[in-house]
Amino acid sequence: MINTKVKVLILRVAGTNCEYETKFAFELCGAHVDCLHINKLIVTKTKMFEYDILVLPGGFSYGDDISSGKVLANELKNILGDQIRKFALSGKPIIGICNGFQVLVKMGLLPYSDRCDQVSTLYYNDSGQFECRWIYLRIEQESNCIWTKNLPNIITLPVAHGEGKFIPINIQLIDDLNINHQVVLRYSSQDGNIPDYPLNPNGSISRIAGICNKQGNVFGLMPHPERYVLALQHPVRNNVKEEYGYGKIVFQNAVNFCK
Amino acid sequence: MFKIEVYTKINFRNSYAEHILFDINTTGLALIDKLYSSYLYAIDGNLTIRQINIIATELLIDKITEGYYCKNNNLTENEFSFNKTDHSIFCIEIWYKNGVTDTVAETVTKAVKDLGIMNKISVKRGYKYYLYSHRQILQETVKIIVSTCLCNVLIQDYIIKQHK
Repeated sequence: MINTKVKVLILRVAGTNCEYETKFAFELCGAHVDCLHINKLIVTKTKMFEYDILVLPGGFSYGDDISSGKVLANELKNILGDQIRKFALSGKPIIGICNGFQVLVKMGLLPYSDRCDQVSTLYYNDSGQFECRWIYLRIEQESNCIWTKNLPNIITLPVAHGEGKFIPINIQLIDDLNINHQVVLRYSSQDGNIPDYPLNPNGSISRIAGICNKQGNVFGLMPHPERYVLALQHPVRNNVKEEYGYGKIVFQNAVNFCK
Repeated sequence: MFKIEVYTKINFRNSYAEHILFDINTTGLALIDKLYSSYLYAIDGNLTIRQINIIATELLIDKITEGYYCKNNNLTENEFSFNKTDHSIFCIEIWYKNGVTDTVAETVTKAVKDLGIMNKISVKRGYKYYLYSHRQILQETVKIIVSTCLCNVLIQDYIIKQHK
């Protein structure tokens, strides 16, 4: 019998620690998931194209040494850069969650997948410390991001990072991201207004929490959707009448997109 | 040996330094008015200036928010910027003691190979702090600050330089 399940590749390196939650989330959405160490992918570079979705999960790749995501970003850019760019430009979904977002930004796949040049960064939180809590996010409904369809205007997800402050190379980039509807998520108060610390956990410029490329298939975000796929994962069970959390919608969107 | 100092550009917030300053000023030693911090990388090996610049720009700094100085001379040579109102300016370098595992340095060694630079190199990673105060501070007091807030003296050595 031919397996028609959508195939997901979760890339793993030393320090990755969210791959199992992410695998569970995709499997909950009906996908087939493989966690593959980067060294195996380097040996068989074309193996990536056997998959429909590529995931750079959260964690602390290479111990966050030098700066978060930097070493893995360089490794991917220099060794697998052509393959990953081709994967992105083919329209297949790619997601970078937290540390994965830092990698996508620092290797330049976001916000412009065709250029692969770093034009923004995720820098130390304004608080100077690791921030770990549930926060509110405003979904930019005009965005063409394939990952965030069918989400309500305000959602809640957990964040856990020390370097999540989105900084563009110049203010023109923010204008371009807004014009192209590439800003997907912004930190928000519960009622959708501009939040203060700690609801804005890092001081991101324009309160940016997640962006996508122009095509909408490459998505990076600091919050962890894989940690809220079941309603019971929320600390105050505020969505307990529903079976699933908002995070599941994110993964389901990508799986449905590939069917 | 090349010494690379990675600093936060002036128009970006160095929240790590702010956090350290807060720590110092809440330990009962509220004597420091300003604090800057940077990371140090001492790289030894048969490398060219061009290779060092590639390592610095492609690996060690964040192009958006950070810059770097590079020297190939003595590690304790420091730059001081100061105001006339600063009575005390200290520069502190902190390095791991010999024999202590320097995990960041090991990662740098691996990451340099990812850049296509296959030379055999040895790397050390350190920290640098600049302390500024409007008051006269004795070097002995700075030693207390360093050993309390900046340095784990069990595994790290420190060098204090005072601007005269």
